[in-house]
Amino acid sequence: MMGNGKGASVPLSVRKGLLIAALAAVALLANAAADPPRKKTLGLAITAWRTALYETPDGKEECPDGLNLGGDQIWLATLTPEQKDKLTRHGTVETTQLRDYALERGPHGEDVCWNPAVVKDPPQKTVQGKKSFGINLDGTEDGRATSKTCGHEKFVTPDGSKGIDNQWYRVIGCTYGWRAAGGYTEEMPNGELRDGGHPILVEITGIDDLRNSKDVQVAFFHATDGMIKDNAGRILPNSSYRVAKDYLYATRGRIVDGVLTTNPIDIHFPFYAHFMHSERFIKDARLSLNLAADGKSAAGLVAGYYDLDSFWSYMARIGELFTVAHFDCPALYEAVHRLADGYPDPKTGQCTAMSAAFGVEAVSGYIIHPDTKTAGMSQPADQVR
Amino acid sequence: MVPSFRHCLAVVAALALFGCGPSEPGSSGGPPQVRRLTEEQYRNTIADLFGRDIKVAGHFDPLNRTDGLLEIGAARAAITSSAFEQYDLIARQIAAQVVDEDHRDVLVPCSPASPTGADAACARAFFARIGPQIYRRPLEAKTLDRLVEVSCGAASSVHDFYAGLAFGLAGMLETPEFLFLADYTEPDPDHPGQRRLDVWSRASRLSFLLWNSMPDAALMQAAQDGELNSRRGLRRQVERMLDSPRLAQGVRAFFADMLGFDTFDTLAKDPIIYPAFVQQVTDDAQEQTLRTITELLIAKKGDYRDLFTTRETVISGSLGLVYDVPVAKPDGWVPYSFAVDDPRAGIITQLSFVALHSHPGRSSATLRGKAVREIFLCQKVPDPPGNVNFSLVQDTKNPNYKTARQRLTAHRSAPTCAGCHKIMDPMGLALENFDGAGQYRTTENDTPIDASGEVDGIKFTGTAELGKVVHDNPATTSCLVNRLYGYAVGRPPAAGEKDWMKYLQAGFAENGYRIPDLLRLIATSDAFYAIAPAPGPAPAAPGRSASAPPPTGARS
Repeated sequence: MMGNGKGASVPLSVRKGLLIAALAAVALLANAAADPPRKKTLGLAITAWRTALYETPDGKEECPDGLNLGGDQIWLATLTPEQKDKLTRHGTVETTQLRDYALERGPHGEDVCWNPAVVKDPPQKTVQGKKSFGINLDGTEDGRATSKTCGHEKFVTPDGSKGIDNQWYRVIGCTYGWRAAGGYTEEMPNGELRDGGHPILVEITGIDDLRNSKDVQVAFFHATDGMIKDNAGRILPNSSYRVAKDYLYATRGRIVDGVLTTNPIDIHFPFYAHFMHSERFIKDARLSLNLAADGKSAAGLVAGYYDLDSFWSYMARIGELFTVAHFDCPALYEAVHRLADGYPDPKTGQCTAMSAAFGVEAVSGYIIHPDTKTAGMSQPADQVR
Repeated sequence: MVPSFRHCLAVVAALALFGCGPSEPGSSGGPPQVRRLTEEQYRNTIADLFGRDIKVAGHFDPLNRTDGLLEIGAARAAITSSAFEQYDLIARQIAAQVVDEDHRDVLVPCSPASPTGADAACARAFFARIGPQIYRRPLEAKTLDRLVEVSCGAASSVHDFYAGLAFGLAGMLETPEFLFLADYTEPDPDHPGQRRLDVWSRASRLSFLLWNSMPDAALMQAAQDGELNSRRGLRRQVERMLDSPRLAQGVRAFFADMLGFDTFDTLAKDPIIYPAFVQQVTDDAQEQTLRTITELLIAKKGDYRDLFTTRETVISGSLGLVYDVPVAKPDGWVPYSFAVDDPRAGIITQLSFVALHSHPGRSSATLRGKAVREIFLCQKVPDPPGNVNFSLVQDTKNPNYKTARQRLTAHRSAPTCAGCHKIMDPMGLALENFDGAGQYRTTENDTPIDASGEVDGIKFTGTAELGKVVHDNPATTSCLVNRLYGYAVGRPPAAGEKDWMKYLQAGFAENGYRIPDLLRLIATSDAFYAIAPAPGPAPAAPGRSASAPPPTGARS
C-alpha cells in the first residue's frame, strides 16, 4: 500500500496502470511537441505589373492642367512655320516621322533622353489631386523630411487611408503612355510576359493558414520557365517554374485577414520590355497582396523607393517611345529629381529614389529549386493547393 | 550413366534453343491480307528510306476501326479517287525533296552527265537501289527498265534530270505495292497442297509488327538468303529486332492503336470549363501514356498487368498544370511517381484515358466504363437503343441529381437502359474523381463523389483500386493476346487458331506477362506466317495476281 498523503491508498496494480497512463500521456504530449502542425507553402508567379494610378474618368481631378505632350510635340511647337515646313517637306512628311530630329535636339545633336539636362523644356505636368494608391513608406503623416527622406506631399487612398507616399504617381500620373487609355509602356512588357516571358516568383513559406499567419518567409526569384496560357490567353495557375540562380531575395512577413504584408527589402526586379532586358531597383520594397482563398491567385501592391539611376537607365533606352507614350525626357528627368523623396545623397541632399507603388497580379505556381533533386518525383505535401 | 547424361545435355540444349514449354499447336492460319499502310507506317517508311528531314506534309484518309483495331480496319481499306489525290500530292512533295540540292548528293548515288537532260545509267542506278526498298521485294528487270524509260522521258521533256527522277520516284510511291502491305504466298514445301508467305512478305510482316516500318537492310538480306524460312535464321532476326531501340516504335504503335489514340485528332474540350486543357495537353497526354508503356514493358521488361496499377510515369510542364503537380523540368519530360495515397494509379487514371473518354464539357462514367470493358477486357458493350432519353444524364445542374452516380441511378431505372449500364457504370463511376479534362476532384456540385463499386463480384473503395480489379481480371491478359495477334496479322484470330491462341495465352502467362516475350512467341511461330488454304484463286495485291510482277509504278 502506498499513501496518497490524504490517508487513502492506491493498489499497486492501479498505481501501475496510472503510471502507464501517465507515460502514455507524456508520450502523446511529446509527440505533439515534436510534430507541430505542418506549415504550408504558396508559390506565386507575377503575371502583370503596372504603375498604380488613381484615375478619374475625365482626369480633371488629378490632372486639371491636362496631360503631358510628347517630346516631339514640344519640340515642334518651338519651330517657326518656315522651319516646320522645311522639315516636313511642305507637309509631305508626317511629324511623327521626325522622331530622330526631336530626340537628337541637344545643342550639339545630343540625344535628349540619354542627356536630359542639355535642354530645358516646359515642366512636366504632375498630379494635382490628393488621392493615390500606395503605402505609407516613411511612417510620417505629413511627409516632412527625415534622415531617409526629402520633404514631400502625402496622398490619401481612395478609401481614406492617410500618409500615402507615391511620388512616382505624382510625376507620371498625367502622362498618356502610363494611363489606362494609352498604357502602352507597361502593357507591352505585360504582353511579353504573358507570351512566354519569365515571371518574378514569390514563394511564401511557413504558412499556418492562408487567412492568418503571424510569421512567414517571403522569397523572390526570377523564373527560367515561361508561363502557359489557356486558349483565351489567360495565364494558367499551377504551372511549374524553375528559379534562376541570381535574383534571390528573402524577407519576412505576415498574413492578416488574407492580406500578406512583408518587411522592407531592397530588390532588383528583372523584366523584359520593348525588346530589352531591364531591371527595376526598388529600395525598401514591400508587398501588400490579397491572397485568394483557394490560393490560386493574388493581387495587390509592390511599393518602395524606385531608384532613379535604375529608372533612368530604362527610360533613356525607351526614349524613342515619346511619340506614342507622350512624354518628354528633359521634363520627366527634371520632375523625378525635383520630386524624389527617398534616400537623400549625404553630400548634396538630393534624393536619389522616389516613392512608388505598382499594382501586381499573380497566379499560383510550383517553384522548382535547383537543389530539389527529387522535384517532380513526388508532390510536396506542404503545398497549399 | 554416361549415355543418359549426354541425353540430358541434348535435351537441355534443345530446350535452350526452342523453349521449354509445350510445342506450338497446329494452326490454320488465316487468309492472306492486303493492308493499307497506316499514316504512321507511311511516315516511318519514308523516314527510313530517305531520312527524317524529308517532310511528309499532309494527312491521309482515316482508317475504320474494326474489331477494336485500326490495323484490322486497314485490311478492309480502299483508296478513293479523292484520297488518291492526297497520296499523289504528298508523293510529289517527297520526291521533289529527295532530289533537291540539299539531298541529291546523299540520296542519288551518281551524278548525271548533264543536269539538264536524261541520263539512263544514273537513273538506273538510282531506281535499282531504291526500288527494292520501296517495294519491299526485289525489283524485276522489266520494271526497272520501265522506270528508267519513264524517268528519262520526263527528264528530256522538261530538260531536268532530277525532275525526271522525281517523276519516276513519285510514281513508285503511289503504287499499290508501296501503299499496301500485301501477303504474297508461295507453295509450302513442308505441307504439300498448302501455301505460305513468301520470304519478302515474311520480312514485311515481321518488320511492321516489331518496328512499325519497312524491313531494314539486314532483314532484306536475310529474306534474300532464305534465312527467314529456317527456324534458326528467323529466331536470329527476331532477337536482333527485339534488341533494337526501334522495338519501342513498334510497341508504341500497337498500344496507340489499341487505346484508340486516333480519336485525339478530333478531341475537343470546352475551353471555358477546362481552360487548362490546351492543345499541348492533348499531345502530351498521349505521349505520357506511351512513354509509361514503353518504360514499363520494354525498358523494365515489366508485367503487362502492372500498367493498371503503376504509379511510375513521366510528366511534362503542360501536364503538370492539369495534374496539379510540380514538374522539375517544365520544358521536357521527367520521371514522376504518384504518391501511394494518390488516387492516380495505372494508365486508366491518366489523362489519355479519362479525358479521352469524356464529353467536351463533362465527365462520362458510361463512356469510361464502356472503354474499360471494350479496350482492356475485349468485352463488347451493345450500342444504346435509338429511342433512349439522355436528358437526365446530360443535365449536370439538376438539383435532384447532383452527381453522376445519382443521375445514372435514375437513368438506369428504365429497363431498356439497365442492362448495359450495369456493365459499364460501376467501372466508370470509379473514375468520377476525374472531371471531363481528367483533373482530380472530390465533389461534383458540392456533393462528395462516391468512387466505390463492385465489378464482376469484386468490391473496391475508390479510383486507384479499380486498376487492381483490371490487373487481376483474367480477361485483361487474354484480351491483350487477342489484340496483339490481331494487330500482327491484320485480322481477328480465325476459327482454326483456337489452340494457337490458347498456346499464346499460356506462353504469355508463363513468361510473366512480358510483352517482348509475347512478341517473340508470335514472331518466331509458324502460325504467324501460316496462310489458310483458299477456296478460290490465291489472293493477291490489288490489280494483279500473286505471281505477277509488280507494275512499273511510273506514270504514263
